Amino acid sequence: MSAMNEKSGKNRPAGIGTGYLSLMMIFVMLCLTLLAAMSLSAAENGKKFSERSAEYTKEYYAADLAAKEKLAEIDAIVSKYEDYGDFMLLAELLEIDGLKGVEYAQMPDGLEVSFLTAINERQSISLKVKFSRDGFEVLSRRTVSTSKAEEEPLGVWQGE
Amino acid sequence: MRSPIKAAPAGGRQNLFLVEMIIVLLFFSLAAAAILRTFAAADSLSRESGRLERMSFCAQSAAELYSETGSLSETAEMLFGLDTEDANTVTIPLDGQCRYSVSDASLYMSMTAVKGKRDGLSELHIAFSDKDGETVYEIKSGAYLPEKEEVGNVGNE
Repeated sequence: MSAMNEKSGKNRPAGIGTGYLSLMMIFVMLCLTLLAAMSLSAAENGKKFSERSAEYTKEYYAADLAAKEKLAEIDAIVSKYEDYGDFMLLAELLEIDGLKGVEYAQMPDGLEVSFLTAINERQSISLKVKFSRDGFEVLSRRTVSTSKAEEEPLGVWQGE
Repeated sequence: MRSPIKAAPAGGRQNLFLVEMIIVLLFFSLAAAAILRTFAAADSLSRESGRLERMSFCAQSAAELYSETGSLSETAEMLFGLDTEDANTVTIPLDGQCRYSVSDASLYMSMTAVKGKRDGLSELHIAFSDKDGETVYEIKSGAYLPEKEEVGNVGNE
């Protein structure tokens, strides 16, 4: 029996057999390649996201500046009139002065003006300002969606 | 029936193993070089995106502070704790993390205030440039603070 074991032990190759090394190397290389590809893909996605975010910041503050310019323009028109009682006249004047896209409403104690300034194709800054004898007060400043896709109803079943 | 392939002798098997090992090492070193380059590119991209994000946040902070104060020196003081003279342009050396640093400056943040078309309106140009002077990111913002006793209360809803 022991003689048989010795015989089979002689036939078994010593250490790592030929071919195992290649198999191991192929497996390791596959793992490393996969890891590198995933890492590069994640980094590229991160870069794209950062660029989009930075671009949005740029667009937002450009729109913010445009909104402030429009506000300054309206304020300059309103400030010309000492008689703040006749706000309807002022409203007409605002329209005459060619400020497109400006909506206004007469309030008991002043004039409420609201307008949109586009950030990009999908979003705008909505500014609502109240002008009164004491100057102006910003009532609200929001980022609103102006995308047409959101206005259209989705083609889903509404029930019977 | 005996196999036509003869078993390699012990010395021959060792030689075969050595040859395989050399081929494997050669291929491994070539593939590892290519993979390392990919990792380096991913690291470079990641660093760039991090820097862009930090510049964007820094510019955003400066724009918000300027819209509230309308003053460059106050903006620089509140943002970086710097005591600057009231000038129209302020250039601040920054490190990779967008922190004020003179010795380890890799970025330069330049803020320029320009008078607007109307009274009380001013524009702020914020530009980031690298060591070579190339502009890497810039935004334009502004402030409207009319010279009245009661200034408009601008706030987000």
